[in-house]
Amino acid sequence: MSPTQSIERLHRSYAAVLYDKALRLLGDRAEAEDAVQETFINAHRNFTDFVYGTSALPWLYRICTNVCLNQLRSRRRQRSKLLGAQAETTRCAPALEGRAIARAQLDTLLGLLDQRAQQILVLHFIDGFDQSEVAAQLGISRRAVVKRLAAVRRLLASEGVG
Amino acid sequence: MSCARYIEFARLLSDDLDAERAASLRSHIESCERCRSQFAAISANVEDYQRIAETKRLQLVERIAFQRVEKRPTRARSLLWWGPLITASAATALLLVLRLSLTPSASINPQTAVRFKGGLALQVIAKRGDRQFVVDDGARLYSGDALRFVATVDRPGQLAIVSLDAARRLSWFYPQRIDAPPVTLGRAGSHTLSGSVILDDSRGKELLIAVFSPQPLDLRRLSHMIDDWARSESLTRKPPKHWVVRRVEKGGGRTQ
Repeated sequence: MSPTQSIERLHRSYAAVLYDKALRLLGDRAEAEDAVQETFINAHRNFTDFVYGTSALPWLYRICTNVCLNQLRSRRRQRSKLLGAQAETTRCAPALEGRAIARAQLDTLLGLLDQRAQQILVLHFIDGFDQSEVAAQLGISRRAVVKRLAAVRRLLASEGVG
Repeated sequence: MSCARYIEFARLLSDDLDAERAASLRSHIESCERCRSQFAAISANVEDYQRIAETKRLQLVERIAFQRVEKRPTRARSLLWWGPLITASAATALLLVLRLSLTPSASINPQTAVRFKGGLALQVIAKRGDRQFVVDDGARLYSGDALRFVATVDRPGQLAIVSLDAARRLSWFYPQRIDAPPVTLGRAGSHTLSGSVILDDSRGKELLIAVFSPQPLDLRRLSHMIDDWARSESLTRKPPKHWVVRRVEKGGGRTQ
């Protein structure tokens, strides 16, 4: 099976749940659709990273996370839409460790973190991967994840979230 | 059971959970209002997307095909792309691709070191149990075989050795990771690389690729080059002219 065929197959299996993930992060349906396409384009480009015999979902989630974070970063740079796009959030508002958090707050929080901390925040708090899974996905030690999470929690507390 | 994590809902909706776990999760969702509500919200978005999924899939395939056409280098582009490396290495960066082939060599043949004009000779020696033999075209290798490499160079420089398997996965032999520095050969002459590489149990086509340059090697760039070559036209594509390629057909489990 060629990489393109494999990607098509992965698209059939996982595109819809990736769309939900992207929508929860971006809050805009058109942008979420684009993010899903971009995720699979990147997956095709980096297909050699995929480890056969493992579930593709965490791998695709990591790619999708990066795509969405780039999109959010771009938004922040343009200083547009930062606090908008609330309209479609009613059924996709992210839960952050059980506590509802508005995406505007999430945008602000992400802007305070470096890229690695952003990835960890999304994969752990929003997607629900445990610390070991996050470490495996990002290719870092569990200890590094734990340290970053502690820093993120401190930041959340200082921002009055949690 | 405790409430599910988001990723478990996603796995359930993607049929990515085993039957037992899926049943347990469905049962929990039935009994937990919070999870039922979350699951319903995710399911609604998933259903929304499924209405356009086929269109999106076709667009994706078109886009990938378009990118491949765009990416396929013309000769001029190809030379341009390779140019910086070629010039940076004074046009002496050499790629050696050894075929891990099918029949074991019966004895060591000192003439089997593969030589190229421009400075590198590489001999690969396999150890299987008590037996040791030179890996040349036609040698069959098995999981557990230990490979040692002897590089002979006519000037100091840097060396990297990788393998490319049938699934186009790149494994780094020397150095062992892409983010580690390449092997530095500090003088002209023969160098037996430290340690050995124990082969894994993957099967099928496999290429052993060695690169030597008197200038510092950029391993990430090299990785992209090999990946691009392997991906763009499969391993049947003729490599750039300064590559030396022997086609690969590796297979079978260990028999001894």
